[in-house]
Amino acid sequence: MKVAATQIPLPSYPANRNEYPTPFRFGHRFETSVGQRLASEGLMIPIDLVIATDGMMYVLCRSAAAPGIVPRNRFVPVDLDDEYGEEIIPIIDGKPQEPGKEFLSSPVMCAMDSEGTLFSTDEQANVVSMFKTTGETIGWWGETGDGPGQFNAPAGIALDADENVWVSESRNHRLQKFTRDGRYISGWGEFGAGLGQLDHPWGIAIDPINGTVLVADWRNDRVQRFSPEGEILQIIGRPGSGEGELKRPSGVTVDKHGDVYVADRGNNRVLLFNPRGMFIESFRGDAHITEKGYRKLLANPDALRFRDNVINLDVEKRFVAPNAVKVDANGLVYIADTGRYRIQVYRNRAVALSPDQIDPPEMHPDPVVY
Amino acid sequence: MTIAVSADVSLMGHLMRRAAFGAQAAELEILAARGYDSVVDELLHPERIPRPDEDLLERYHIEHSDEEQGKWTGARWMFRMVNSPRPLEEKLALMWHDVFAVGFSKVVNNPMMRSYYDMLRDHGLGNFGDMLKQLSRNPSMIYWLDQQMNHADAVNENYGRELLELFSMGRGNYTEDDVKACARAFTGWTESQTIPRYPNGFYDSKFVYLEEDHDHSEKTFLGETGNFNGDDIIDIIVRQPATARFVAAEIYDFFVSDDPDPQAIDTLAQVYVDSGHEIREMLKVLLYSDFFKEARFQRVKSPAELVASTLRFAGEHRDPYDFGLVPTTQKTILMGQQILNPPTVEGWHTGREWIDSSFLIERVNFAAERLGNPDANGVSEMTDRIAEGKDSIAPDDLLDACLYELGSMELEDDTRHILMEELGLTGDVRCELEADMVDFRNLVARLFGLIPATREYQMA
Repeated sequence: MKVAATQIPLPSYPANRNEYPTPFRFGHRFETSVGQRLASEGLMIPIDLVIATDGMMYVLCRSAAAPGIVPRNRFVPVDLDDEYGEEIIPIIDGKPQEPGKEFLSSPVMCAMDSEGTLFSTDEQANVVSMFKTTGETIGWWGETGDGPGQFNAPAGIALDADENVWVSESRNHRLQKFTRDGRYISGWGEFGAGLGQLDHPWGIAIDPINGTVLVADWRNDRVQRFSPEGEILQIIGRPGSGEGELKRPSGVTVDKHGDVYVADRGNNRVLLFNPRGMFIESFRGDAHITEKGYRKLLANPDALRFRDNVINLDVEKRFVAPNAVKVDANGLVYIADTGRYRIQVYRNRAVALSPDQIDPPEMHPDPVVY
Repeated sequence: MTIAVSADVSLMGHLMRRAAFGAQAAELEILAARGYDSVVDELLHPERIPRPDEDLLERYHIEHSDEEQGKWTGARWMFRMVNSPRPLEEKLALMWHDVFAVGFSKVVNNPMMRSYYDMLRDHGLGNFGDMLKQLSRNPSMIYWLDQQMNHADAVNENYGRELLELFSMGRGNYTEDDVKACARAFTGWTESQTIPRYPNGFYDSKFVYLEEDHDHSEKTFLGETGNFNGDDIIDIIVRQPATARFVAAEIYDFFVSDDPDPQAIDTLAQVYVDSGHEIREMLKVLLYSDFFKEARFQRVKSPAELVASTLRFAGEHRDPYDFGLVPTTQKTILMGQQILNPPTVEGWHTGREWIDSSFLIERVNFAAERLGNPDANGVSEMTDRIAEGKDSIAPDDLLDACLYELGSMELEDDTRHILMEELGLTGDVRCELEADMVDFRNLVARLFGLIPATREYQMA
């Protein structure tokens, strides 16, 4: 039985308002969308992604298409022009996993280290697996259990500045830190709805500014921020579907200004919060049909006539169950639009202001942050 | 029978096989202690118990996140059959699915199939007229029977005909002119065009009424004349004595027996009339009737019922995390029933037609494999109950105990004899010490695995 949420208020976060830069946020511009519902040159259930330094996306797909024929677990390399590289599928005992009988059947989320190694969690195998972008399977580590270093449904994964690997576990309701080769370092967390407790945590992110750890506390409909040692620092969002409210959030990421993007999966949207937890804006999807999609539709007269008879095409742009959100160093925001087989990409046009461009925070009263 | 089974538990076992998807003895004892009235009342009023949040099911089966495949809605339905605290609504949805059969093979759009299933589930216990009105507005049904091609100036009779023949009155109770008038009344009842699935997946569809495409002229239907629209036609249909008998016969067939009993059907038809066409009232009378209570093991379980009840006994798929829900659900296909994909608008041929040589092998093998696994949660629980407080157990008592655990089953003597011979036990089986339990668990699982081959296990 989950205990009731505590009403003890946390101190304001951050303690020092100058810890984070103050950006002038003048809106996100929709850039492009890539991916379509195809087993080849497509993204079958894209549940997470990483962006390599060369701009290539490695999209983690958990396919439901043709089980037994199409592998459930694969990384699909794709660039912003919707051009595809060779898929990366797990190689076990020298052979590709047999579709339908996969050991690594249920990938959840992924991360990449500075050397370009891909990491992904698997919630049925209870391991973290590693791959090279050239296609080789490096291996995997982890074992089933609830002891230190063991896993029960590992979900979110992120690397910190020291390249330690943080993993959330949805069924052990905790976070653990490992070295890249799987040696257990530390961990914390317990089931509940109270301050610092977790209920089926999912995506995690490391704040690049101060190394704090954010977790999508999925079944508590909130994001929680912890110090690297496990001290609860902040709660972002609250249950609901209104402004700044969350319904089963799955993914979280932090950009270079400390702004927090949350994949608000249950509300079919992505929300942006500032480091203080104030709601900034929401994204609901602006996708267009890709060039590949356009060309394929053009070759299908029946589908074109169907589309011509559709009353409302607006829904075509919108997210369905967006599972993850990532940012790159160039200010691009990538949203895994999982239920629509694509990645939607926005450009964040925020710029950090210098102290002489904006009044110091002390001159204005803090607003109330819920 | 060497173990005394209370009549209450035995009756509860029967009730749960028919109005739910079976229950282990441990649950039956709790229900029997509550009393038949209380349990029936709860079954008939599912709205008093909130439907469970299925977010965890979605969470651990994320590969189905856009509901692209009909088999996921089928699997979700199977999960509900196994776990829902409101089993009668799932059972009724199964019944109506066979009566108002719509299939994924033609609709090829799972959001639409899901809305069809939701409609069956939401209205299955309600007023029959309301159900027909919902059915006539359901985009899956509209597409399945070509209603979108039923225009004022080009009538398509497909839905109008099946509404009378398969969904309400049955052949011989209307004329060809009635079919034409019925179809004309439903002109303009259509669906919004869905966005094609390529390149970004499936989209839902909605009911649309096009006033300008409706035939507003006068119609004569079943002897009544007026400018009828679809709802007017349904209001006339539900008042027909043939409809009362049709609904009563469907309910009798699904809940009581594969062999019709005209007197019992007349009784239910009268309740239909007296209650203003309320399905809940018909079921209430049925569940208290002698013809229901006495009809033990007289109905062949449909493949969906067989799989769901076996999973319940074996304790499988209680946890939404459990892997393999879709392939497990797909086992029903090998037994002749793909949920949400009936072979035709007539649904499935039920009763003894579920049992042919290949289907029977699949049915027995599926259940034997699940119940023959000593490590399965449910098998382990039932085994613990059998051993509890005993040093040893006689072979006859062991068989009785296993039958009791499987929902208070009763076997004919010949069948018991065959099972005992197959088991080949010559003396009491020890179950006192931890060391005894390894062999005991394997033996009990072996016996559980034999029972699905009996006629009684295949029946409800």
